[in-house]
Amino acid sequence: MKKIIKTMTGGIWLVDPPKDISLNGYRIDNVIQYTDFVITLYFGIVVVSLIFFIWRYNARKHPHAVYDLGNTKKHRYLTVAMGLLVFFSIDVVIESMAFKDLKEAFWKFPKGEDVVRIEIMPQQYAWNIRYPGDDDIFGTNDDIVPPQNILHIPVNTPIVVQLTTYDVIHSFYLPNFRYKQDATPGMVTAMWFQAKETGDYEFACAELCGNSHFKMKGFLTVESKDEFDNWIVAQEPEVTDDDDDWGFEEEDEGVPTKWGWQWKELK
Amino acid sequence: MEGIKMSSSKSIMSTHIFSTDHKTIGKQFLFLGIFFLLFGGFQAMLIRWQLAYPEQPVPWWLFGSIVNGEAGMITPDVYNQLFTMHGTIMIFWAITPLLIGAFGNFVIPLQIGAKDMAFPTLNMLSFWTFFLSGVVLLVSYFLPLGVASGGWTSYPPLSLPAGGIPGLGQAFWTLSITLMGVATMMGAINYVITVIRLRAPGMTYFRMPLSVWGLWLASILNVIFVPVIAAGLIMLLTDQLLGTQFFLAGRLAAGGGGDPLLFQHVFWIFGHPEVYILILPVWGIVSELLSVFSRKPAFGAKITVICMSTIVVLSSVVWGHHMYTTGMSPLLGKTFMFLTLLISIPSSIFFFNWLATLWRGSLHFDPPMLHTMAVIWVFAIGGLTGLYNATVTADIYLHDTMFVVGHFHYTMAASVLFGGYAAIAYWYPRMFGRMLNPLLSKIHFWGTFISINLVFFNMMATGYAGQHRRLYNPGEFEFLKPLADINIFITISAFILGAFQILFLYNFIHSMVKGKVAENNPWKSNTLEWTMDYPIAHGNFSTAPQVVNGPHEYSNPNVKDADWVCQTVKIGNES
Amino acid sequence: MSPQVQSADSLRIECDMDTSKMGVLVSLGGIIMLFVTFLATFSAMVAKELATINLNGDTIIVAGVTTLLLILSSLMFHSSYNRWNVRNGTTNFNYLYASAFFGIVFLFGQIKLWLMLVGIGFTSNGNVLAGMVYLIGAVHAVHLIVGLSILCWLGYQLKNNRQVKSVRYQMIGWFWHFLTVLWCIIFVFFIIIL
Repeated sequence: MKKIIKTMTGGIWLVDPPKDISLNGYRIDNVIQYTDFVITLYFGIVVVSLIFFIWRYNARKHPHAVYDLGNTKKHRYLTVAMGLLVFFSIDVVIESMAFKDLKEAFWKFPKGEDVVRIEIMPQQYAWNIRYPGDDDIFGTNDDIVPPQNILHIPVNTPIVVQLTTYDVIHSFYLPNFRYKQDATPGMVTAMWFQAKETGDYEFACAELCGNSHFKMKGFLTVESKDEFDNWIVAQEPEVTDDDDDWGFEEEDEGVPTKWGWQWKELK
Repeated sequence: MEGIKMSSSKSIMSTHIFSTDHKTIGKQFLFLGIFFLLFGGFQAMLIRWQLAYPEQPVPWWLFGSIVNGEAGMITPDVYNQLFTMHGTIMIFWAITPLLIGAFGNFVIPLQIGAKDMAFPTLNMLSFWTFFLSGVVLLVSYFLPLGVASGGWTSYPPLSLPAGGIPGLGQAFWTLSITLMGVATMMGAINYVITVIRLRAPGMTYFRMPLSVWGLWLASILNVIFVPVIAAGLIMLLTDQLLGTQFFLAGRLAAGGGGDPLLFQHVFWIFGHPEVYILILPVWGIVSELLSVFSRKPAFGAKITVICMSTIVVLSSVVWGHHMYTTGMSPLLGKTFMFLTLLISIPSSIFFFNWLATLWRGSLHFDPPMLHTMAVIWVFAIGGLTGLYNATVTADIYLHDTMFVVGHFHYTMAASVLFGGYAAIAYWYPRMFGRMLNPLLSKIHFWGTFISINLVFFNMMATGYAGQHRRLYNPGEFEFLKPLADINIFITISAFILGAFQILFLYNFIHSMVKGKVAENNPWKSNTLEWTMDYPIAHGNFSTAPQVVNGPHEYSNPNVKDADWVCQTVKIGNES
Repeated sequence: MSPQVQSADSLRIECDMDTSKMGVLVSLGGIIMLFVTFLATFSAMVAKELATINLNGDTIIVAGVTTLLLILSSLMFHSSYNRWNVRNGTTNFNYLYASAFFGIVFLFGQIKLWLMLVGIGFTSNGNVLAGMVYLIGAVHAVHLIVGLSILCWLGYQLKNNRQVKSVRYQMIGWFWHFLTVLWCIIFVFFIIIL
């Protein structure tokens, strides 16, 4: 069955999505594929009947229409049947797939020792990224803040990202992970993902954030755990002058400093 | 013309400009709508040029050097302004006046047998307020720092001064849409009351033509939800001009601040019904026209009406599906997804009714019918692709990509465009007393139909391949570079699409003067608007029509020698 | 073919009682939606604890007094309409004047109230709840000013012995009473929530 669905709808969009390198991306691809299948089916029915009606019932061939108000009991049953068919073939299936995925993957945040936690604060038009450093606490002097737009993650490790923004709304968009999450001022949002292949990829801002929105590009490097550890050691901890006064600086311009916030516990 | 005939003492001012005649006001809306349609469409061409040939000089036939200065290149800020104004103009100043403004005004009183709108003066005020809002919008093009560039959704904080968009463009945007809301409100009150109070004797609700139903339901949604966005826009305006901080938060809000998400909620509480406000008239007109040109009663008309009403109710509780990626609570996400998918049931039922109307009919492929059948095609695609966006997981990937753009252009642009063309072609003889040139109409139809599908289907494809929205230059990203060819293809199709609209414009204007003079009922239609002579006098009906039939008594076996019978004529054998 | 010849009078749409009443009702429904949105936004802001507000006794007293004034204005209008209705088109202008007067006093009372609120550090930049209080008050005041202009128009018409349709007088009353009721609801809402 799956194979039939695949061959039937494999190419309805004529293009391939970006390579999926995430643990859970296949779930989204599956939902999309099932939807491809049902919409091809239903659209096929519409098109076939349109063509048939045009061929069979055009005025030249069929000069006298049949008077049919479509309000008999039979028609009402047919209507109800139609509704039920759509409900069960589309709504119920897609919903159960999506709810299952949300419960098992996207809204089930990983916990434990090996989780890599990252704070990301986009600004117009760059990505600020922060790792907790040795003490595993954000907002301290040993936080690792790599150069802007550079994000390294270890492969086969769950990554939990918390987002907020320096100025306007941005959206952290990972095409290769089939995922995006808005970063909204005044609130911290969270997402998680896990890579299953190493390599260099891109991430982007998906929410309009100003004139250079299109240039808001980040570079994602997925590497092995060892490489990642080496890389993070090579990064200089953030240089700071005083220990208090964490939080947002009242600066008007320039790269914000010391912007880390306390990790919000996830429910 | 009609004014002079009616009474020579009246000046042109009172018969053509500040007229209270719903037919004149309808035509005024139509002309204004077509003007803005062309204006918004032209901006779309510039957007497409930039997406296909980034940072290359715009050619002379797109008025390159006039619009973009000596070098003729579109800069990022101009690009942002283009898509912002394209969306804003198309939704609020092109589609709304074309369908609800023009045909709501022209068709509702004629089809329900009323002499005019319930409040003719209010109707005139509605048009002129609308006109004023358009002027305010156009004036913002002459501001030194340019028009709004925060997207048609205008999310704060970007749309606030703190968000970094310079100048007063955003404030003008907010102000003009608020004014537009006032105008829409006046019109909507009129339509709602007219339908409730001024139906001719015997015109029960279920004897109303389905096009009136569509327009009426859209007006009800307007009455309920336009004030919602008005409230949001007033708050946005004070944020922009008076320094309140309702929608500011984080670093930008010194000492306090509000919540940007509130605006998104308010915006989409209005914004999602707005989608249905735009499409409901089309559904009504399509249901009606399918019946006329199949010479067969609209199949299950009552059920179609019930389905449309159900969608009206559902549309007001699904706004959250625009906000899946904002980090809303899981329970809310699931609820909104469930409610959104419920819409598929009523839509599929009236879709089924549309197809069943064609079944065993006698199809006449006049231009209005071609456009109507095109609506079935494009709305099937548009509606079905909505499933991806309603699904939380799929939407996490597809949100804010070109897929969404393609999807809503199928539902809102393509469907509404074809619905509008169907309505124009159908009621043109009633409006101007002449027929559109059928050959040009058919050429225009096929050109539009093929190119519009090439444009919007491929837009969805680029979105599926990951291209996100509102990108000045997709070539900035490695993963989008393979899409350059598709983008060029879309652009060329879009130019062809645009060129065919010029053909329509020629046909529209030329036929007004030189077209074949129309008979009183060229389509052999049952409804009341075809019963009087052209030009229709102010007051429409000399005596109130007595309605005895439903609107769809086509091919009734009891009617001798004709496959139609006017709503006021008693059907044969009972006497 | 010539169109049907009709006299100017027959072209007038008979705006019978129910049509115009219904029109006013639907418009009032629109205004209600506007304020419902404001109040819902306000509640959301309170629920999210975006800001806090502490009203002191004086301001509540002033607000209460102005509310009473508006109710009085509404009552005056009601008497004016009643007398006009009973006496078949002649009226005691004092009631109409009183109604307009109390309306104007209410507006000044509002301004006084805002000044007092600003005085206790209740400013709109920063504190969104304060902003909402001012905004809702201002939008209501704009409607009230529209209402006052209509009252002036009505007075002018009556003064010059122009004929005023009974239904029109009544509709103006509906709008005026509606604004009073609306303000009372807003007032009670603020008192409960803050």
